[in-house]
Amino acid sequence: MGTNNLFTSIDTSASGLTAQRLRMDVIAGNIANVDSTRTPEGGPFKRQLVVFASKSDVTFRKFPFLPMKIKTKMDSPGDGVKVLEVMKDPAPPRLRYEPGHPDANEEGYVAYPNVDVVKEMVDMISASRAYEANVTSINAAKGMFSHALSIGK
Amino acid sequence: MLSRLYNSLGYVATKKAIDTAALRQKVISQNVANADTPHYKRSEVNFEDAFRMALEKAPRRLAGYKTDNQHFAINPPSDPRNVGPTIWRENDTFTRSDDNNVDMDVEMAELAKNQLMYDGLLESLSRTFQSMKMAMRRNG
Amino acid sequence: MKLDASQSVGPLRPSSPFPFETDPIKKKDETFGDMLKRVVDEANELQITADDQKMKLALGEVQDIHEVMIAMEKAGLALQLTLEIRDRLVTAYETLMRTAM
Repeated sequence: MGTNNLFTSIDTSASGLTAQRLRMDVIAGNIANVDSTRTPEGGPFKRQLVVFASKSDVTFRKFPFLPMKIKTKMDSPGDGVKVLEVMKDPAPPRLRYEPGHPDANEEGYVAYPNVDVVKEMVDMISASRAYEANVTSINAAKGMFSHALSIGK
Repeated sequence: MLSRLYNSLGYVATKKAIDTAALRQKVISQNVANADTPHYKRSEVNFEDAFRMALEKAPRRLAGYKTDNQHFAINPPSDPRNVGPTIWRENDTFTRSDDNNVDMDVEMAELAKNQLMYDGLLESLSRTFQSMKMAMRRNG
Repeated sequence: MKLDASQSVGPLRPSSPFPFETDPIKKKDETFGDMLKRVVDEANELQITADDQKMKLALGEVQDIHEVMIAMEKAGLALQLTLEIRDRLVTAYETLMRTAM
């Protein structure tokens, strides 16, 4: 399934850093565009979200009807996470009654992006903490590695 | 000649525990990297329980049976020398709405414990090697 | 429990499932020369293993760094043991030669 070599742990954590960093960028983009009622492709800005998946994705969710053992034996520690895609949130835009707005429709409603700033901030904090956790993992791996170098000294 | 040391319970247990800690580090990193992956389930490493069970089941020999040179002719699965660390995925613990069951605080705690354990085991191993070296040094 | 001569009076510890712990230092019917050869062979084996681990490391095929370090340490110990034995043998020989008539 996956490999297991000298720097597997660090590679795995690095993939976590990359994924969370991308997630933070996407969240930042959502927040920046919270009031963008106009986009090049027409209509208001649509909230974006990231879809994560483990790199060697052998999850059982593809076979939801098989009986699940409480613990499954694994062959290798796994090699991290990847961003499958950055997709647009299909939720409908928020409508606000602003008849004077240049982007208002016939009834006077303006379609605002489906972005909830509070939710985005919470997400951002979560992504930031997850990023830090991956940094901690790398530091632990580095510490263990250099300790091993002084065996017998 | 030093194989007496390398085959002793203390050395073998220490070496296997070191292997386990190294593997555990990789598995914890995987859990942390996938803390936000939908449907991901955390994995953990088992060794201590399996090793202890194998030690309890292994056939006993009388201490002091010094002249017999036999080694294990059969290697049953409960032979403690065959026990190593194994990775297990936890399918059934409480999950969040994205079906992910990684608890970051648990992983961070495991990470810290594991690093300390690894360092301690290495120290133990180093001292074993050091005392062998001292024992071999010429005196006078 | 009957006490008899076949039970050693040593430090109290549970009977070990590791039979190799009771390996004698000198095997049955082994001459000194045989034992010396065995020590040298073991040192050689460990050196080969260490070299193998070093190569694997250079090629990126090693799973854990401690494997390489332990292999090198074991090889180093065996080498040191061999050298010690050689040194003491040489010293003993020289001493013997000095006292010969």
